[in-house]
Amino acid sequence: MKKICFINGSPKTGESCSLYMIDFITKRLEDHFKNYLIVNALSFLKHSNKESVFAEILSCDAIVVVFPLYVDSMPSHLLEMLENLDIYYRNHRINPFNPPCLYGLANCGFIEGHQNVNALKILRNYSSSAGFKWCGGLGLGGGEMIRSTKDQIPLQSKIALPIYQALCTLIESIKNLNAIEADTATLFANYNFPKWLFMFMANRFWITSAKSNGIAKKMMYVKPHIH
Amino acid sequence: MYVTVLYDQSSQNTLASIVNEAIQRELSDIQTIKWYAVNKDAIMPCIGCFNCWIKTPGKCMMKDVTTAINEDIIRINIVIYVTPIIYGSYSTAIKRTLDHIVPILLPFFKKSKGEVHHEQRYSKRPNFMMLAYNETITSEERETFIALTQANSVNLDIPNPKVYFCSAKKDILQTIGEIKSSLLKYTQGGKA
Ligand SMILES: Cc1cc2nc3c(=O)[nH]c(=O)nc-3n(C[C@H](O)[C@H](O)[C@H](O)COP(=O)(O)O)c2cc1C
Repeated sequence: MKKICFINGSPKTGESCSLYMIDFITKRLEDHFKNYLIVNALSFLKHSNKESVFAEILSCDAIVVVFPLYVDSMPSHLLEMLENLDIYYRNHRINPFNPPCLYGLANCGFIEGHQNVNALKILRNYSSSAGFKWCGGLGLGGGEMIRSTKDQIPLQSKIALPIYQALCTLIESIKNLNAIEADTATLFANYNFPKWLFMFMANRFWITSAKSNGIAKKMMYVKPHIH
Repeated sequence: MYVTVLYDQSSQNTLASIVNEAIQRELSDIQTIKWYAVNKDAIMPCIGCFNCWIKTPGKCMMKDVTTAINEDIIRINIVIYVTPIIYGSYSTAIKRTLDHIVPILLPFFKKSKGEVHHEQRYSKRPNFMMLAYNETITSEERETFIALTQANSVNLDIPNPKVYFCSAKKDILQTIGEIKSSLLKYTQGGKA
């Protein structure tokens, strides 16, 4: 049976959209992969035996990099880890004729899934530089909303349907170790939700979160760098 | 005209030290220039806590060089990022400073060119210039990097950055020369 590794690029220690997605996918792959490896990219950087983790990752048939969009690309700690994995792979040509399949699953704060496009291109470029088999990616919009409304808006519900369908396509591709069937092997999806309502809810979310820390709305606008 | 230059000091890239030395030498006659030698291990990665929006607005909880960089960014005219280009991205060190740029934005959303983006905390923001170097830069990487810098400029509500690529030792001086004349033009344009 095949082996799969998820690289979790979210630095959050509690809940994250990335982890929620990993949970969702692993539950649906249980019958296809004998074991999973989930590597947290941020804690990995402090790992004392990085080489053994790399060897384990590279023994997998599929590697899925799941991450939040940071400033239109990958978070710096994920980039650092992947670059090190690339170097290790070059130096230890493990199974060069049958390289692992690489998939990307990015999520961003803004509602448009398409805003992940450059991050997924970076992952594609990474894949060809390192010599993995690029099988494409999925970019999800409204990540904070997906995570924070997961009990009210389950992924199978009407509002979340585009996300659910895109995830199913990704899961089918992973099961067969195939590239995602889509233009440039890349899919984008977000809630079926008007933008104005998204902005209204998100703005209210920030105000409520600040308030719970004792920060009034007016205080949120302070300019500490202007003395 | 005030210029801030961020260069990656922790990179093992074969061109890194030559580019870093050359740019410091060639731009040394600009009086109002400030240099940051960025070391990836001297900056903690962003942990996505959003405290810079909801707990200590405008400030990151971690104290490192990015606080000073952000103070500059909202005051000066031009930031030059001198970065190895890897897979079409900034290097880890330079990306780390960019991940910490979020406190200069507001959490609130607005629509910009049909897409959702953030409102700005500060009215003054600089222009960006990029010097992206590596001995091999594929055409995909080049294209990705340009698109990435343009997406960044939309999010920061600044003009599209000028991007200079350099993939050979022999081209370094010429590329830096181009950056310098572009800086001079900027001053003559009365924008300073
Ligand atoms: C430093 C930083 C930079 C971010 N940059 C972007 C961005 O450029 N575009 C965007 O849509 N969201 C951006 N976000 C929002 C995250 O992508 C979003 O919160 C995501 O859902 C987090 O995913 P996670 O829960 O898996 O960590 C940024 C967040 C942080 C902390």
